[in-house]
Amino acid sequence: MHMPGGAAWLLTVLMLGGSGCSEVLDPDVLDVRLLAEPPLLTTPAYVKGSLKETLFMQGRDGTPWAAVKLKEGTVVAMQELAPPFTQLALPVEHVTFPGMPAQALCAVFKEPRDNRFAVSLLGPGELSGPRAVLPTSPVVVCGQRTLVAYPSGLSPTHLDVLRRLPSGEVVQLWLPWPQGANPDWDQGPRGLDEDERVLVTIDGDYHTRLYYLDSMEIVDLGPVYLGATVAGYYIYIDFDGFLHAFALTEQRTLHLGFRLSPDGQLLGVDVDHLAVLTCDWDGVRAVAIRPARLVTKTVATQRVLDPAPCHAEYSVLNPHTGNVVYNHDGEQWAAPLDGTSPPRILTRQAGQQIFAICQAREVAYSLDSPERYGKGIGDGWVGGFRFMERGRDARFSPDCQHLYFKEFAADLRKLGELRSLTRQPDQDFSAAVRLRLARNVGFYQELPDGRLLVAENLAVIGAQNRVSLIDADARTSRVLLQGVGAVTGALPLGAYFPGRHELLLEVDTPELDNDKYLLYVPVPPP
Amino acid sequence: MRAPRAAARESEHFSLSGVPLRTAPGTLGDPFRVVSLLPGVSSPLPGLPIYSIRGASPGTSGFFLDGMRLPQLFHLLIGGAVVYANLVDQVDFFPSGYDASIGRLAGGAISATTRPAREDGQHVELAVRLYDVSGLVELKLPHDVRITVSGHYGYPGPLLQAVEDRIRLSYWDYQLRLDYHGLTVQALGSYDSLEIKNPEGSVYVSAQNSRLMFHRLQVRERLRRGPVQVEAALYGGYDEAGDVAGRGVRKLALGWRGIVQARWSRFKLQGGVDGELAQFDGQRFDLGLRNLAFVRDAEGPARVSGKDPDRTPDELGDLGRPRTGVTNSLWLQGSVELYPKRATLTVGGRLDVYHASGVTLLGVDPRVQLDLVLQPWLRMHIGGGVYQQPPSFPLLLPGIDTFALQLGLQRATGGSVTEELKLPADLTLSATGFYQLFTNVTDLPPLGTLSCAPPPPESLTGTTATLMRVTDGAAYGLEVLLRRSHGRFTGWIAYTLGRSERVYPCGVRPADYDQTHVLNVVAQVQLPRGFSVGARLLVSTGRPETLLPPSQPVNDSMLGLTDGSQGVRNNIRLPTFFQLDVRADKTWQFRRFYVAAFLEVINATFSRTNLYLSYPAAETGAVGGTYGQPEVVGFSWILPSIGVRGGF
Repeated sequence: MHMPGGAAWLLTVLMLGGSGCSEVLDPDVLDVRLLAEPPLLTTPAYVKGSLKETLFMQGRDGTPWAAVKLKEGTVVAMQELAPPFTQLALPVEHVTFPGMPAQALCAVFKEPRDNRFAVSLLGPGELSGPRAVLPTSPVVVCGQRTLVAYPSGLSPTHLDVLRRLPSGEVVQLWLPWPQGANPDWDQGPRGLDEDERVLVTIDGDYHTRLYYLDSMEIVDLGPVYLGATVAGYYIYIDFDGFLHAFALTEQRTLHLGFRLSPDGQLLGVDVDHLAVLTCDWDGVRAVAIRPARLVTKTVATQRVLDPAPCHAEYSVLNPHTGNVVYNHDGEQWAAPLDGTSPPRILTRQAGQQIFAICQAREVAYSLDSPERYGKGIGDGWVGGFRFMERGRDARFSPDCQHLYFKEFAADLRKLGELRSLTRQPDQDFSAAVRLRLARNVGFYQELPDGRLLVAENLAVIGAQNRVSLIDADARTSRVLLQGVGAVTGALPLGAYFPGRHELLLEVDTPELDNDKYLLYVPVPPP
Repeated sequence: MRAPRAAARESEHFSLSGVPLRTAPGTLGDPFRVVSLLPGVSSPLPGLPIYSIRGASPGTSGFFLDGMRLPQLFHLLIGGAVVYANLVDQVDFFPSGYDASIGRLAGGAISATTRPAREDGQHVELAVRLYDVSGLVELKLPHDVRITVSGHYGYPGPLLQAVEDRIRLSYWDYQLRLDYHGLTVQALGSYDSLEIKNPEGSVYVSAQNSRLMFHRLQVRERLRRGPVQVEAALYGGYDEAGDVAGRGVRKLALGWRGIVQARWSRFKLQGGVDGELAQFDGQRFDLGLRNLAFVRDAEGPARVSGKDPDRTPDELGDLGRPRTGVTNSLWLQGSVELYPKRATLTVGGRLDVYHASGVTLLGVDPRVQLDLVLQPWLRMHIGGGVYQQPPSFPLLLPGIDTFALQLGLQRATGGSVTEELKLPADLTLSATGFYQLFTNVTDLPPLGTLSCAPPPPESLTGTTATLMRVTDGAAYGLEVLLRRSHGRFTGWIAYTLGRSERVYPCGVRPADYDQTHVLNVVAQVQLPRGFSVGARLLVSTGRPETLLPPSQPVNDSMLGLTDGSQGVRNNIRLPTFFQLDVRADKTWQFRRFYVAAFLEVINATFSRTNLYLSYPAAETGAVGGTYGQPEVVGFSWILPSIGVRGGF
């Protein structure tokens, strides 16, 4: 038997022709292209501080400022975020910030000569202003234009109030201390209404007293269990569970004719329809803010949005969409506030965790209980569509067209593969375009312009860690910062000042000193 | 019809069989440990059975038993081989440059064959050592059915705890072989459990512990028809690696193998297929690796403090991800005698396909061998080619393969040239030069400090990313072996002058397991009255380590992160290691049975095994820490073994 000799040489040629090649036939690649550019930012300006201790302020000319508490709150660094980028350091005893974007902050100073304290309402770029002097360290209620203070550790005799008038002038008032109020029992001044015309206080008998700062009038509402100022009303529940609304301008109490059970809760106020949303054993109701039709307190002008029992956990009012989302027997339901259509279910039965809710239309939820992988981790569903196997941090874009999540993230460092679902309007998420955006992702956040700020490549702490800007629509990724890993938060200036692209990036440094740093990051426009 | 022996390979290799396999000094009587005495093999962690073969990563070596790939050859620590010594018929060692019949490896291969029960009746052998008991039963049944049953059971607890009471170790293995004409049915398995409790007052979260296990069942048929010889095998396997609590990675596999060989007057054709279908799954397990400084540095405090493995299955990353792995290979090679009995050329190649987690890899490995008999006393062999394998864990462990295919194939390209001289007095002298170019190979990150460490691959996650680094590199060197295989005085002198390099971010540096000089002198003398004595001397250069400038701060930037390109790596060497092993055997042969006793002392010089350089002052995590006062982490040890063996 003879072997054809040519076969050996044919074999040789074939094998040498291959000459040791290897091929990846189905590569495991991301759906975004990392642009081969150097990091957009190499040496960001930074201060030691945290976002929790940071305030964006707006100057009278509209200029944005940032104020950051430093050195355990004993210094406030104020930075103008526009030319000429003025930097100021304000030494304080402590400081209180109002909501953002703020027009002022409430600073407390200690007078070194006599160990007395002073409070001042300071605008951005101001290091001094009219002061009210107090004998001990004060407790401060801080509004945008109003500061209310009283000394701690003493029996206060009055309230010191500083008010900034529209002209910029700061005036000082003295208001009587609510009779018998003990601050240790959560009595005393509690807050201001939206217009900062009314100060809400609680006296020693748990009577809520409203101080009118312009007229110096005082209105006693009697004992109040729970209350808040909304849309020109002080909505409150008395100790018997009855619902009332006090019209701040008219100074008139409206008994709404509705009584909550001990387990019932208020979901909020539908400002458009002037109604209070309640969640209780008898369902979800919109109780109109108007006087009861009958003398009896138990007959309200109300609309039953859903008669099924409601559980307050995972229930929210989303007034912008005209819907209320509520929890019933472990399922999420949504009902239109105007009652034009029946309630509809958003989640499947036995849903265990709610990850995100978008405009009362979509809910990302999990059928896995928090005990399986931990709170906030599990499979992910939208409607009846399973979009995630074992992930976390599922979030919708504000328009509900994108759903972002971190897949395979049952991990102590909370890392996962960032993915997105993008759908067309009126399309279901099951038909959405699925993209794999980045691996080993820790922090991520959608910026106001729709791009994603992503801390990625974090599997191992090192110089390869980076912060990227991912444009899911263009399917590109750009490195913003290299060597930065433990991002714990971002505060985009554009959320308060449209058109601005800078942000403050909060970076934790457990491997260095366990402190947090704030990096000032100019983000290039899309 | 007699079953033919396994098809002979065309590669240059080192082969050992018979009594020397079981009595070579320095091996504790384990045939596989003989590999550590051979040229081209370095033990970067002396005393531990972790071998770098011709400068390749230890994870790229392969172990085969009767054609089946095994995930481990040795039990942990002092435990010996996972196969009973007297069952092993032959051990072949293929350091590099081998032919196309061995594949899916970028490093060396160790292939062992077992023997069937002897034909001359029933036999029993029992062996007792200080820390284990083992035995072999050989049965010859009617109709030429032959059965062997063997195994070990280890009880090393008392011996180990006399040295260190925090250590718990247990192991066992078994082998069953049934032969009927050309049909062989085999079952074998191995189990290890090791726990090292933390010292009193330790801040570490978990103890260092591990549990390893594998089982194999193979049915093999071999037959010959004229010039054609065929071998076909089907096997199943179960592998597991994890912690002592039973969590870990698992693999259930079904494999197949077929080899056809045909020989004509001047031409031989060989070909084969082999493949495997495997199902992997895993739970996060905790080996206590976070007690190591480099793991703590790499993973940060969040993982160090993590205590609940059941709820974090993604911690393992790619290693533990449930997946179906498929491998399939086709190889073909032809040998032609260019000049009868003087020059033989073998040309062949392999086609290997791998698939897992949605990624498919294809590798084509051409191989060539040229064997020249220049003179009756002078032979020359040239072999080389391309050697590729999928990503591998830097240490071979059961249940961990066919993962992270997105990294692409590891590749070694190169070969070797060997000249062998027959000298008087049954001596042979061989010299081998080798060169290997490594591409895309996976190594461990440095153990002491992450200075100049390649970044983890971006596509890996979890612990897999922590423990794997991809680099390129090369290895080259010269091996000299002077050997005497017959006579009263046997042994060899093996010397390797080698260099293994890797391309790190700070430049081309010696690989972590590079050892410039490795000298093994093995001598054994048969004495009258059944005595034999032997000794083994090992002298090896210490492996490279990284000595950082003592004044260098731990965190010298705001974020403490530098890319390592300005750092240093492997700029010093750990101390040279000397080891002397001695062994004495005495056999009493009676008419119907025999008794043998042996005494062996491994590392009689109580030399210190140096593992890595540590920086205690830098491991506190405090600002202002520096790399001053480094310490060499290691331990001095000695391992005596005494035992008796008897049988008939």
